[in-house]
Amino acid sequence: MSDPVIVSRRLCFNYGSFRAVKDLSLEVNKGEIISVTGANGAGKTTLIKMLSGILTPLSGEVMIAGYNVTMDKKNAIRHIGYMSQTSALLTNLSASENYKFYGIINGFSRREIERKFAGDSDLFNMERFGNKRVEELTAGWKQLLSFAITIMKEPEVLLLDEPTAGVDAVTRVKIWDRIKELSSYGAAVVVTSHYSSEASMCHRNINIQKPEQ
Amino acid sequence: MIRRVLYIARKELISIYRDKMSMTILVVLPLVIVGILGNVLRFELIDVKFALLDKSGSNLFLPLVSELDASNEFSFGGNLNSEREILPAFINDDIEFVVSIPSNFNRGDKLTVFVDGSLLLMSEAITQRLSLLNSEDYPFEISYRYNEELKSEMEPLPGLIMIALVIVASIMLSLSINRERERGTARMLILTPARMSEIIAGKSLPYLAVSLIHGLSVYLLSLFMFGIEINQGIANFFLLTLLFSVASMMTGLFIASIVKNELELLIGCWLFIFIPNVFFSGFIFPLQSMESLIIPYASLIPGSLFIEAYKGIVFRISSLEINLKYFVLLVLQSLLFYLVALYLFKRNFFRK
Repeated sequence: MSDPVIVSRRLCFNYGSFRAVKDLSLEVNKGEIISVTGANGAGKTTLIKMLSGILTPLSGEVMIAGYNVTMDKKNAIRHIGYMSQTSALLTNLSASENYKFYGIINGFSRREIERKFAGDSDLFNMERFGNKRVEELTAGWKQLLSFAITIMKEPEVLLLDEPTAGVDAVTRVKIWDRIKELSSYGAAVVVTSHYSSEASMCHRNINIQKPEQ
Repeated sequence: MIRRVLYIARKELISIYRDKMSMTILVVLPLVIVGILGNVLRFELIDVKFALLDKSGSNLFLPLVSELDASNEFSFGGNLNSEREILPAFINDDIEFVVSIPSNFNRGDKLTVFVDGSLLLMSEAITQRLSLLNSEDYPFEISYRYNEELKSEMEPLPGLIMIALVIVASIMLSLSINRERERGTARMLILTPARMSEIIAGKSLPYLAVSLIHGLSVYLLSLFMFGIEINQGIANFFLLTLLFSVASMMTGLFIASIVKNELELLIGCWLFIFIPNVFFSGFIFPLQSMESLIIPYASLIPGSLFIEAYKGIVFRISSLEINLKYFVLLVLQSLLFYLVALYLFKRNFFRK
């Protein structure tokens, strides 16, 4: 039986006069992983941003775990873990300080944060760079840290915009293993990617075409 | 080589032409600055209020009062009955100087002109203008109230403190907020349970703390370097520093909420924070020397409120009630800018 956690209906979005997304409808069930592929400028990132509530659609609606992202953002975002294409880390803080910062902001106790950080450190070898400042991290380490922060609250909905861009093959496997693990616990995942090998690991693939202007 | 230089120049021209912000900076900004400042700022006194303390009871000085009142520079602000009323007149009634006529006045005797020494530039301008009167008919001597030693460092001090606080409080805060938005950190923050008001408060607190530390440094510097004791006004001084810093931060926040990038932010800070607070606050040009249309606006600028209140608290040791109007205006401006910025941030904080 289908159990959609993410529902989007006829989403449209324009950047000025440029039509980025047109009439995009989508349903993602609990535990399902969907990859979104398409050429550059097809609207993959715009879709992820609309699903997360960062961008408000020109028309159409997005429901996350039963909450309208535009009308009831406060409740909807509680269920979302979002990882953007560009690093959203605090550059002057170390990796562990970033982790702690987002942990506190997300309402975790210090003990919980330490436990989670230790778990993720084991999984992703984060102790290698835990004390380094973000500005000193490699692109791959930044991705790992961003991913670890995104999944910290074990969200029901995981929206990942090219999470493995710039990441080596071993780390990529680790990230995907974790995505699959979260999905097995019931998380609905939407992930954009340029890698066909990653798309093939998903339950479904959506290929977005550039809308006609 | 010339061909390459010309081609680079051509590319630059095209970039400038196509970038609206560059066009604004290069063409419009200088015109606006020169146009506004040139029309608004004057180097002459306009309608400086004075009072008359006539202890002689004669009407000998009606021509003098009429002459002063009829001039563009001065306007008659009323009569005083005793010397005790001079200081309250300076503080409460915006009187800038008092012409005092001694009892038993005889022709040739000197008048005393009481001037507010904490407004050094103003008092010098007044003295200079009065000396143009017929000195044989009206010989006078100047008596300073407040800052009797005419310490010149007192004049720029409030303005310098104000500028230091503006830079820390408004410009640094708005830059920090904008940087977070440009780097995408804001997106992550906004997808956490943290409310916008919490984010703003959290980002503002360190700058507020730094501003208060600057307030303390200024207090200690004034005391040990210039010998200016604040004494009973210390609580008022720190309250003023706190309120002014908050008002400046909220102005910076408002500018950060309407701009798209750092360049726009810097121009916004320059146009809406720096220029008004430096040129229209009374720091460089006395408010009374500005175009009359601009004076109501200029006197509401946070910088003007700070300078006026600072002079009141530190130099004239005026009470909280006297400065209450400045404090209330700072609070109202803070609230207004905060609410507008909050509304705009909620709409477009993560547009990057």
